Parts: sequence; C-alpha cells; structure tokens
Amino acid sequence: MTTDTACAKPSREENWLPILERATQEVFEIMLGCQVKPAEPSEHKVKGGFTAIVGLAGALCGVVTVCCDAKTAGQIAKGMLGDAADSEGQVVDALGEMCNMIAGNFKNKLAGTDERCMLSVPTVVSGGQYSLHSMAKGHSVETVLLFEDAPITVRLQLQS
Amino acid sequence: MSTDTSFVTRSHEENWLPVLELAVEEVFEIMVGCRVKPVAPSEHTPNGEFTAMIGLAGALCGILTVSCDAKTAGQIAKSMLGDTANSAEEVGDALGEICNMIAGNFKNKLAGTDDRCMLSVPSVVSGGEYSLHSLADGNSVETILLFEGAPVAVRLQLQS
Repeated sequence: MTTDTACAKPSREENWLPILERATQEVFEIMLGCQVKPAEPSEHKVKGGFTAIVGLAGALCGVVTVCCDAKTAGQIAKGMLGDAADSEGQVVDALGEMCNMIAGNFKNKLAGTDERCMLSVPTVVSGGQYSLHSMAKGHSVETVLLFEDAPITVRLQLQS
Repeated sequence: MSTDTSFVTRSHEENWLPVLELAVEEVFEIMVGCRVKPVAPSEHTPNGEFTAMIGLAGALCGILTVSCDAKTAGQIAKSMLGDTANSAEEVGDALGEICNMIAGNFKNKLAGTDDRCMLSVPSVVSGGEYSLHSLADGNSVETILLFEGAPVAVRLQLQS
C-alpha cells in the first residue's frame, strides 16, 4: 500500500525517515515474522560484519544499505531459510534479499515513484575490516532497529 | 559513439567483453590520460584493497565493479585530481567516478540500451579484509588492465 507522498515532495530527511522505517518494519514482519522497532542510533553502533547494498536509479538515484554483524546476519538467514542455513553464501543471499525488499517496499510507498525508479541487483560486502563510502551527496537518512537485541542499520543515501 | 550492437542479440559473455574493454580503454584515455590494454587475467590478479561499484537497472540489471590496490587507486586519483589528491575520500571519489564513467560508456555502446538502462550512484569499499558478493546470477565478464604496471580489474555481473 502506498503512502500519499509525491516523489518530489519529501525533500527533507525527516520526510523520508518514517517511510524508510515503515518499509523496514513491514519487510521484517513478512520475511522473519517479527516486529522490530527503531532504536536510538547513538546507543547502538553496528560493528559492520555484513553490509548489503542495492542501487536505486531513475527518479530516485542512490543506494539503500543494510548493515549488521555476522551473528545477526546468520540469524536473519536462519529466520528466512531455516536452521540449516549456515553457509556464508546463504547468509549473503538472505541479507541481500532483505535489502532488496526494503528498497522495493520503500519506493513502492512513494506515490508516482515506483515505475520511474528501478533497483539494481543486491551486492553484499563481508569481512572484518572494511569501510563503505557512497558518492551520493544528497539526503541521507538512517534507522537503527534491534533484531534479537542486536542492532541493524538501514541507510538511504540519495543523490542531490 | 555507439557500437553497432543490438542489445537483444548480446546474450553471451564473449559478446560483452570487447565492448567492456573498449569502454574501459576510452575512459582511461580521457580521464587519466593513458592508454591501457587488457592483459591475461591468470597472470595478473589485483589486490583489491579498493573496489568501486555501481548498479545498473532497467534493460540491463547488474553491477559493474573496478578493483585495484591502494597504491594504484592513489595514482589514479592523482592523475585525475592532481598531485595533492591523497586523502582516502579523494581516492574513493576518483575510483568511483572512473567506475561511473566506464558503466555509462559501456551502456552507451549498446545500441537501444542507453535510454532503457540507468545507473545508480557509485559506492566504494576499501580495507584490508573484505569480500564482495553480487547476487547477480547471469553473465559475468571481467577484463584486467595494467595501469603503471599494476593490475586493475573491471567486472560486469548481470542478472539473468
């Protein structure tokens, strides 16, 4: 169901944030059967073991990222694929699919944007020591939620 | 200038590779001022301390990545931005811009694809220990070129 929000209208980050939060909550409820609520970002810093990235192109141009530690990524994979899902490939696929669904749900909520904004294929970065830098220089909004008491950061970075 | 290449007839990776190689060579000549040629991948594997990536969405859906070691990324940044370009952000921006231009040049060479394929914003991963996994499950082509004696890998991974 779309929110009554024209694509060009939400020009400030306080407008994008509740839509991103709702899109994230819905995906977690549908895919993992759990209700998650935003937490205070300053109190929950993610030590990035896994970061999934989906590009947005067209009317909205930027990236959506989902970042969590390795243990949480594994729990998401088990929640989606069953307890046998423990290979790194399965974890990567699960987190990438979550990111893809959050990005798709987010753009679907912006009336008039859906057909003019397209998603690229998810990519997942994993490792113990890396940093990710987006060249999107426009608005950036971030929500942190707790999944089984561990923080997951969902960030939208748009090109100005 | 576009190559006389119909998008729909290009379904095999051996068809994509020469177009990608040409796109890479042109961008390096224009942006970095040097001529580069593909080398045998088996003999030159870059240490991917920096990886720039950009998503493609629409008629072509996938990801294009440019990967090299930190020293080479710094040399590319200096060639593009001048000798004072040595911060991590400048290096990331330069590699991201090279990736963006290669992807744009590549899609422009596929007749009929340009206006049906859009690019997202580049992102750059850097660090000493990370892996990059694309969920694109279709054709994948890679070219490796030498820039000042060091390998730079350019990979296109498409969704089937």
